[in-house]
Amino acid sequence: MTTAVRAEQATKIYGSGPTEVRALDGVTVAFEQGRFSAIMGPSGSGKSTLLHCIAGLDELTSGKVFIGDQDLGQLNDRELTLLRRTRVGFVFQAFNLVPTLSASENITLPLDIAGTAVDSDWFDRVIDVLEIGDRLSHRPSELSGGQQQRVAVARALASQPDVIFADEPSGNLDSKSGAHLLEFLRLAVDEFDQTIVMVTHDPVAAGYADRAVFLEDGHIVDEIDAPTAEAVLDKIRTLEV
Amino acid sequence: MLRATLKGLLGHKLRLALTVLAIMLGTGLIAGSYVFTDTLDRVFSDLFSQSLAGIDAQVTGDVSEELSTFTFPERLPESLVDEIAALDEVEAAVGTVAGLVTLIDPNGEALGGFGPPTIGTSWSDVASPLTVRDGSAPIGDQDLVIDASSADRLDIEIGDEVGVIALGEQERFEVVGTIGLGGSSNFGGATFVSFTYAAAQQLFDAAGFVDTISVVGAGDISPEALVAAIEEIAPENTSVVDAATAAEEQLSGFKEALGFVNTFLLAFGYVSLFVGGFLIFNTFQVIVAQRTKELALLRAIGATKRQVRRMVLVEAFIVSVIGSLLGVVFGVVLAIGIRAAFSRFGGEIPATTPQVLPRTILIAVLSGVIVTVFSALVPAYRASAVPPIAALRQVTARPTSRLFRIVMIAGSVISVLGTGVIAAGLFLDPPEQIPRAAFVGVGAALLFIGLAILSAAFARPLGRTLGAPIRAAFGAIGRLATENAVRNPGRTAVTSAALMVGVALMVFVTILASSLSATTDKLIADTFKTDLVVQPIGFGAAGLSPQIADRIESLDEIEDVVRLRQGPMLVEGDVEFVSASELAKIENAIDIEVVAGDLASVGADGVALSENAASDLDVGVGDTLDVEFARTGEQTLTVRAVFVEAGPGGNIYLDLEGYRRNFTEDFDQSLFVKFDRSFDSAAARSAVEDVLVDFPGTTSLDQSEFADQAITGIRGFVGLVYALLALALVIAFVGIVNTLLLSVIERTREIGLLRAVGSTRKQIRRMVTWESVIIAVYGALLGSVVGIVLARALVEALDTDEIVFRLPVLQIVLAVVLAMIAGVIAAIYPAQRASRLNVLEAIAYE
Repeated sequence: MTTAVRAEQATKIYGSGPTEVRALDGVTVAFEQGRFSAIMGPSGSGKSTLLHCIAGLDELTSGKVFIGDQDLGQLNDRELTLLRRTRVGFVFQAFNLVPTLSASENITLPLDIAGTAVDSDWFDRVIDVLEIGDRLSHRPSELSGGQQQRVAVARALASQPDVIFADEPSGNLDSKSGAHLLEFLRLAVDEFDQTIVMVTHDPVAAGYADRAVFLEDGHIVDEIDAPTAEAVLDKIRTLEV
Repeated sequence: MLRATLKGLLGHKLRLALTVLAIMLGTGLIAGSYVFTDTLDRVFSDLFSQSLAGIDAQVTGDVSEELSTFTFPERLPESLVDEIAALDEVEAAVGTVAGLVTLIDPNGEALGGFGPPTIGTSWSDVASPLTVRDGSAPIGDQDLVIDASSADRLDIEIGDEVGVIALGEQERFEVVGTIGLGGSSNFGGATFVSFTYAAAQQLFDAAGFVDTISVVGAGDISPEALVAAIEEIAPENTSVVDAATAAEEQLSGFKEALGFVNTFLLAFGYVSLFVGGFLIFNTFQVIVAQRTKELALLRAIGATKRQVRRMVLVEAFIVSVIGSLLGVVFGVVLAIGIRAAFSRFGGEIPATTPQVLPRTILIAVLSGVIVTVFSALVPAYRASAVPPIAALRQVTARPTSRLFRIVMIAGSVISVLGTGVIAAGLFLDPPEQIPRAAFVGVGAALLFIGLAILSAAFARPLGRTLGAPIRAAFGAIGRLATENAVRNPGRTAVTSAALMVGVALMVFVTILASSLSATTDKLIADTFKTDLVVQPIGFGAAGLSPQIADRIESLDEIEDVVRLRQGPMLVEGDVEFVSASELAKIENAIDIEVVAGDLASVGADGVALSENAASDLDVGVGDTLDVEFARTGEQTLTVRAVFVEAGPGGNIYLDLEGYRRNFTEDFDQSLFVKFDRSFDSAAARSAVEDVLVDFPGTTSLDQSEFADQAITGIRGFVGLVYALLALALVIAFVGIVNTLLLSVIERTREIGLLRAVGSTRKQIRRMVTWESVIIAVYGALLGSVVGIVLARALVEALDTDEIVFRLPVLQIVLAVVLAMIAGVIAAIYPAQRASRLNVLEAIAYE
């Protein structure tokens, strides 16, 4: 199986001297193409930092990150921006949409910014699967939280990126909408053969993934293939002991 | 609460800095106006008191105070000097003859030009404040002394030969010395020359007369006793005052003139501060919006609405005091700048330490505080309306459509009220104490506030329209820019309103100036019937020696010369500048249409009035008019003619005979020259110019040159107004920077998101820049429309057919283009800041 994203000896240090914090401490991990991976860990474990670094939003103190064969450390700001625009999709916990744009404008935003034509067949399929076809002309303020997050997923899918990074995508949703959204992410992987890397602290959310990686104090401590919520919960209990 | 306020202030240094800057710029010109005029006041107070040093009393012809600034009183008989000197109470009495002259430098060039006048007097060794610096006093009748600072400035040295023109031909003098006034060598910017008594009497055609008698009292006699003793023997219509009173009287006329300058400058100062008010309002609105949670928390833990409100107002108060005090400092700098500008156009003004009186600081701080606190009132009330529950949940206070409607109604009411007050100022008779200009000013301020409120309703549709080409050209970034510009219509409206005010006033003045130029052009074309006009160069010049007209009239090539003079006269208590001409033949010079009476019959005791003047004064042909002249006091004139066209001479005409009888001055102001048709006109003109060679400081103009000169004058004035409005425009510009910065800070997360999904820094910069351009162009367009409407309204209100309304399309387009460029420049820093945002921090931003 091909690797979509990988980190080699990824280390991220904040501060220096006595206040030094090693958010990531020599993490080596790879995420395969076409799979839905979850990065799990308690707060402060470094999971968000790992996501930011492998997504090209933050720089490592040492070590390397590759998206496909591209070493992100070799890219300047502009090249990183272009890479994010074309090869990466994002779904954040909150504030995913530009309030002044309609849902459909938000979805095509990365393509519009890039000046690339929208593949309308692909667009139609995505909104069809995400069930937001009737909300396209609405502004974000006129959408429910779940609808907003689905629009955000559609935006991440719109440019058919190599990998989608999701940071607690269901964190701000009620459990029903959250479950709904995670089903859509699952669908995106199964139907559209997308690659998703998701950070979450929620065992239920991790249960939708193909694989869960456990992070603690900046180290990878364990992982489970085809996790269920129960398995993840058990693992967390053992880790926390 | 005070501590919370101070913390809040210091927590937002940038926002604080921009608000302080706006207040500083706004109060700067107000302080500057006072500093400038107080400094001049100081300079001239010193000068006038020095000019009477060593003298106890002064005797002159009597003249009412209103006229004394502009003209000379009746001369006194020379015999009076001896009579006064013979009094026991008097130690010495000296008669002085004085007048305006044109000084010709050794190279034959006239000196002075547009600067202050050149004054010539007779010299006296006693009872005179003048002292010799270098060389000697004038002894021979061809000797002349000049003030040391002018000698220095004009590069005149002892031994040089200079020319002087007063009422006759040019006379040659030798410079024998330089003089000073007490300790000072500067005469308030004027050039001061002195001759022997005999030479002065001859120059000013004053044989047997003097203008002033300076008296030194005997022993230690009191000024009152001295004045009383002189009054005993003085004839009627003589004014005898002690030195202190004389200095005060001289100063009062000057102070009045200075008062006009002060009011003129102050008007622009208040415009700047008013524009600053918009910026301040916006800043406090945003401060309150951004601190909703904090304010709600304060309310939740027990702060009353009043306390919250006071917190915002105290913040406004502190900021305004700091800004106003900096404004005073800035005002001193401006005053020095204004002085430098005046020096360029009007000659040297003696430099003194800038005078910052407590009154200046008080007014600057008070205006700054009032405008700031007033601007912060609405935000303060909004702050106190934040419910405590807002601390616990995310509330975005959106104005309801009902509130919006109420605000729009308020905007309309204020606009209509403003228009009404302007109209009242223009058409009604306001109470005595309040000048019309105050009505117009307050009305305009109300109108602008009303329009600023109303413009919130247009901000969205108009902004989107303006953004259409940007969307077409820049796709998603263009769309974002447009939507950002109209996203908070209230804020956009207030930001662009600041620009609107500045642009509206500029467009208004530009239209008036171009209409006035066109009108002048037309008027001159319609009324100019002569071939040539002869005039002195500059304003300070003495006028034309009457010899010039005589010599031109005697030329073969010339058919006729008509003299025009001007002077002040009191009509019903108001000073009117009247024209005087040879009315019997004035129709040869000016196209003047008589509707009643006969110009030729005006004579020495008659007057001719324009229809407007006649109806204002409610008189017709045959009626009498009570007037007052400086020289002859109260006189009764009979209206002998009424005419239609005002022409270049204005509304009131005397015959030259009447002028000669009632004015001491004997200069011509303009000569209208008509060529003899049997000669080539070029030859005729050169014959006239040959005469003028003997009278440097004069010029001849044909019709188009005459019109050009008039229009150049208008342009100069417009330039001055532009310069003074520039400050308001700078504040509006700062306002745009402020709004953009606040928007960028507010939208940190959104910009972070845009960066995360692939917007380059350049695209973010472009987005902010276009937002700025839309706001700027919106303001400039509104301002242009308001300016055009106001100018049109004024022209309509003047209600005459004579004014040609001219719309300077090119200049208005240029104003909009400049606004666009200003928008681009205003966006530089905010755009830079937006594009430099750290993506991660922006996303994590709370």
